Amino acid sequence: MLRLWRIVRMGLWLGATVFGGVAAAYPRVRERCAELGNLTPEDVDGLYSLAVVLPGPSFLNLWGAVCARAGGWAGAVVGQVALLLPAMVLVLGLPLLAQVPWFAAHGHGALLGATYGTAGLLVATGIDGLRKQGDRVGLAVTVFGLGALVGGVHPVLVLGLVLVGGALRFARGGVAHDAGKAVSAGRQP
Amino acid sequence: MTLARLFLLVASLNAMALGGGGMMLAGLERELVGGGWITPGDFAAGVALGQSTPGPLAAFTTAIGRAALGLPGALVATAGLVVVSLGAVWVMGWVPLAWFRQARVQGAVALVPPYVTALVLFLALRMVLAGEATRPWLPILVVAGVVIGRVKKVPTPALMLGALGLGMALQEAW
Repeated sequence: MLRLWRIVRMGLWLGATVFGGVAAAYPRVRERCAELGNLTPEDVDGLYSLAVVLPGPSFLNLWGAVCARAGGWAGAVVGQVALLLPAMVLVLGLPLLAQVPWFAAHGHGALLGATYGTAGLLVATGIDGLRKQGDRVGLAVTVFGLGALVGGVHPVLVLGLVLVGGALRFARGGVAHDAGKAVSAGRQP
Repeated sequence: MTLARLFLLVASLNAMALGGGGMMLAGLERELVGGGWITPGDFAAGVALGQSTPGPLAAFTTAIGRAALGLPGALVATAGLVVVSLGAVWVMGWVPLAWFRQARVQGAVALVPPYVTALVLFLALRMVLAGEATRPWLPILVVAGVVIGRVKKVPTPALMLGALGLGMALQEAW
């Protein structure tokens, strides 16, 4: 019961404070996954890869998978509902404000400001991600990924290429930083 | 359009859309706007509202469901998202965590964080470019303000309220 409450609390927190979908949520889920169970950041990397390539909203998929690992099916369902709840309240409640003349007159500007605000939060998250990348390979992957996405390549295909790149790099002996840490920590089964 | 048909529409489009809920936008627009169930303006407003609220970007489905069939439509459309996602969660549940912890799998997923950084920056770029072309300084001003606020550790809700207020004030001023 305590674990379900923790899932609900974290789901509401993510649902109310993360703007920009799964890409913005991923660093936070990765940082705080240990609070929900025995998940490691590397487990979240793997779950994220699956969440994106499977059907359904990636954010719901990732969060549902994390919650299922922590609290079973009940955890997955309450976690997803908690994640969606803040957005649902806003999406259903904000149009009611449009009936107030003052809000109706300023609604367009507010929506534009909120959209650009979300873009600003995404930029801040991106800058944070760039700062945390310790090597040139990470930077090269970011530049490649950004170029491919801007060029119109499907995000799942780009992710697939990144995973293949990571596997080739590992096969050639360039053990990735996180993988190296995990192996040295004795977590390999 | 009935509630059952809306549910099946959202669930089926969602089940076929790989890469996130945003991938089903085109299908929803074709069915709902093309079928005359909601106006193009309501559809665009629903998408903008869903993308500027916190949580999953697919929250636009709730807004579009509301525009089509009111509160029951919003709930049914959201249920269509959750059902498909629970199916994906079920599939992911079959993958043992031990698999993710193999060195070779960790080697493959080690480059996922830099990819997500690229995706985040791409989404930001797309949101900025989708806005008004007549006032290009407006997104620059809001984005720069939010980034500086984030560096100064201003809480996210306060930053979003600030961006919202700035958008309203600037709309009035110009």
